[in-house]
Amino acid sequence: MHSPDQSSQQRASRRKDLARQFCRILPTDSVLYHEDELRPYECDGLSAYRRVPLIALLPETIPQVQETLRLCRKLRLPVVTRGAGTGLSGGAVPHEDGVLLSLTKFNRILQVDVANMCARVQPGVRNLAISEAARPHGLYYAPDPSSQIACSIGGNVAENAGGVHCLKYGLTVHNLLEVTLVTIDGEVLTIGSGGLDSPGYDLLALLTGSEGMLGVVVEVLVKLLPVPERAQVVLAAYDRIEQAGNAVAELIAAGILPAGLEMMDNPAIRAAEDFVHAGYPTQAAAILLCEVDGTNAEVSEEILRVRRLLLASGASEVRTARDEAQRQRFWAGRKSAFPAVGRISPDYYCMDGTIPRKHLGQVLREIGRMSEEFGLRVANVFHAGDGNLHPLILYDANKPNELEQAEQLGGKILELCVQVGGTITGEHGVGLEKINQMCVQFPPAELETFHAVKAVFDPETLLNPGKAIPTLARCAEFGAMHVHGGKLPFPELERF
Amino acid sequence: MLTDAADCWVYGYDNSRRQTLPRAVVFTTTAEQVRAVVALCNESQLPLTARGRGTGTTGASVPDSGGIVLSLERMNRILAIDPANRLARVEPGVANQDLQDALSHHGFFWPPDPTSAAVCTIGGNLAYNSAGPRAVKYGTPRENTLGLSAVTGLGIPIHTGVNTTKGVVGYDLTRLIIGSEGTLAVITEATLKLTPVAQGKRTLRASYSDIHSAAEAVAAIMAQPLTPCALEFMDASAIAMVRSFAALDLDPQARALLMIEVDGAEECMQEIAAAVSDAARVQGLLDLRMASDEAETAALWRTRKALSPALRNVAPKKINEDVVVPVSRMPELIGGLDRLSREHAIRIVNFGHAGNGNIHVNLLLDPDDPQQVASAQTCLSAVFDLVLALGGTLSGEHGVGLEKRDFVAREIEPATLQLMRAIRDQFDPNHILNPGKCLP
Repeated sequence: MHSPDQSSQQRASRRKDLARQFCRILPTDSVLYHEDELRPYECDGLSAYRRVPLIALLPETIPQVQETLRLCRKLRLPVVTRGAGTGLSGGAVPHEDGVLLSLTKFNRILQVDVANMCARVQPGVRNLAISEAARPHGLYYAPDPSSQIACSIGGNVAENAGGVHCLKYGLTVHNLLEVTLVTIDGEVLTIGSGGLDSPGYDLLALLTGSEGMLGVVVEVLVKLLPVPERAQVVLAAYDRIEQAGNAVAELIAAGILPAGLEMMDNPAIRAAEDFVHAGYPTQAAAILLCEVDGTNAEVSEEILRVRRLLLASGASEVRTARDEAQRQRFWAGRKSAFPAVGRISPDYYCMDGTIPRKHLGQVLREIGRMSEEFGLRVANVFHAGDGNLHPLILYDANKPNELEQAEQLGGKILELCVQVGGTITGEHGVGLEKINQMCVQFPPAELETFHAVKAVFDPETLLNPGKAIPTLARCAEFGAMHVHGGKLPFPELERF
Repeated sequence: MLTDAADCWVYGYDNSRRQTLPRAVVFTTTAEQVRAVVALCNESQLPLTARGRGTGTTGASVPDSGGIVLSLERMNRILAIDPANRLARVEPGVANQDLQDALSHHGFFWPPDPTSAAVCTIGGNLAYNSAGPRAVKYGTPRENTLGLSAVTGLGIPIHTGVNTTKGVVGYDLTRLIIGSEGTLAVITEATLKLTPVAQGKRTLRASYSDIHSAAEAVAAIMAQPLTPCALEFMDASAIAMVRSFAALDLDPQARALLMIEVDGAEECMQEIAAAVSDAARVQGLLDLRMASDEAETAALWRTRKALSPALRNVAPKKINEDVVVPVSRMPELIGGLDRLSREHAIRIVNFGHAGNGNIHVNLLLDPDDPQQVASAQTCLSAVFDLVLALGGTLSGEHGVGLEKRDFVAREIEPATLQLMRAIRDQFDPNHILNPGKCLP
């Protein structure tokens, strides 16, 4: 047995040894190995999980990434790739005995190709920076995660990020043309093409959302869209939360495709109103924000239909934003809802379960019941049009047991999502956080297929080990605790 | 099950006009039967080629390595149509058009609409990722499929994807299997994403004095916010062919034609049609007209849809390619094809889905003329080199099959191909599923 001092000394000397080796292939200032330099990399947007890596590397060129990965493979060092670190599922949490590979120096927009409506960018470019660069040409990049001012496009590819507007314009996977990937062997591959499709298997889709487990993305070609002529938002208030849930299903079934369709429940409304004074009705049990975009005439026509449907669905009040300023205010409330909730509770835990839209009313009611059972408040603010829930479980990490309670409640909510035919994550990814719930969603045959695909790219599982796809052994252990002999309620429902 | 050679012969064929005799044809009606058949084939190392209705153009469903054909035509039930969740669950043998008819009662449609929609099956559409004119606005099957049930080459049933419009759990096996031409798994059920039918629709036809003007118009149309739901292109030789086929009332100077269709709310159609027309008005425009009623629209589309079969009548054989180039490179592509046509003395007719740069390049030849067959092969090879030099791709929607298999390595680098082969080994280690197709 070593004393803690001894082992920390060993760790420091291991770090020095590695730093020497990596300094042969990287500039000295791209190799960080002192504990205090590594601290900023210990967690991502899900701060409940923290680990300090052995070493952090910040390459600037593709050949440097190739050399780095070759050396990692040779030394059998685990590699966790990181963009801006805004992920919400712990996907970029470092490995204690591995390399944290930061791509922040890959931060250039290489080309905005107006004629072909696409942009070639490096992975460390911020999501919003792409739209800003395209804007003078009347174009923009559609996926807009709430963290878009900070999050990187490489991270968006890794997590297949969505956002408010993905209801109409699709997720990251729908807005990509090509990526350049470095494999763990240090080989550079171009996946996809500027054209519509390419022969062979769809590796581009396979990489999107693979959470850094198949390779390191070093360049991305994204699609750009023309900026719509006009966007308008309608706010509808409801006395009962199920009415709002059902209204979503009705809008969608009526064939309306809003640019965004968001829902907030009463705790979220109050928190947001106190914080940014968006002008929300604070007595409402729930509000819907429905945005339509297009040409002037299209928007006018659609607004009429949306209003009619919302009123018929039992809304107590329907308001259309008078002008751009009011539209921005309506959205400001929604977009600041997370920090707003942060003001009323010392800690919160954000879930990302996604369900078939017609079950919204029922699932929200059930979440309310669970919230009472656990004695923890839950605020709901989410992408209703996609059925993508974001229940925020409010807790206080300083109170004994509350974090564990919150995690347990979160797990129950995700299992409920799977039971009604949904999925445990709509846009945040599995990461470390939801790895146990993967066992609830997927039977062994599917998990084995995932492992088989992983083995093709990374046979020694050096890339982001322990994330996204659980081992069968882990599932067996978890299953014994939660799933009760592999039997779920509602066995007649398909669980995919 | 059929074993008589006379019965089996007709299942050894697809629209590439290749044909080989399978040892037997097996008809399954349930997923369990599919599993049992695949498992048996895997045990006995017997090749298995899944087949819908044989409308593919690349030979992907031709059982050229012997073995059995697994016909999915009897698995043709629509299992559920769910408007509130905008999805439908179908078996693979459902004909594309039958599904569209059933959905139209609910005000929805499934966007992929290959020219062969009346006959081709959903399973086949998924196997090739076949799109059609509407892809420019609504995407290919990959964008319109939420989940699959499938049986891998090991005989293991798997379920991929989600019932929701979003989901980022695990690797995207749904898209991996779509377009894999039956080499990874046999699809036994698909959950499809539905799109509401727009109330209004207008069809426009624009003719141009040269291909460069038409290509410029395409770029201008795509650069404004109102994406058309179809943007089809015909070059001078395609126009000439259609002329001899039907009275078109077309400017004699027309060397390129665009068919533009827009959809949306009825109240907005005038405005949308005006915006798209403005974009189409570039220098070199000869004539721009809008179909005034249903009958005229139908007539316009008949011309476009008749092109493919019409080609069969002018030449005994056509080599039908479906290359894609970035929209801005289209004039260079057509110019280059013109040059190749002259150099190799092979008639080339071009038309296709201009909005996403997907051009059907048709080389016309007489298979009984050995000189022509040889020059067609050299010409084809030069066509692919041209496409790749322009930053394009070899196949937009028809797939690879046998026809294009030997050209794939020109586009995809060896390391990437190796990855694809390794993925295939994981799904189907004994290579019983459609061996020799899709990957070289």
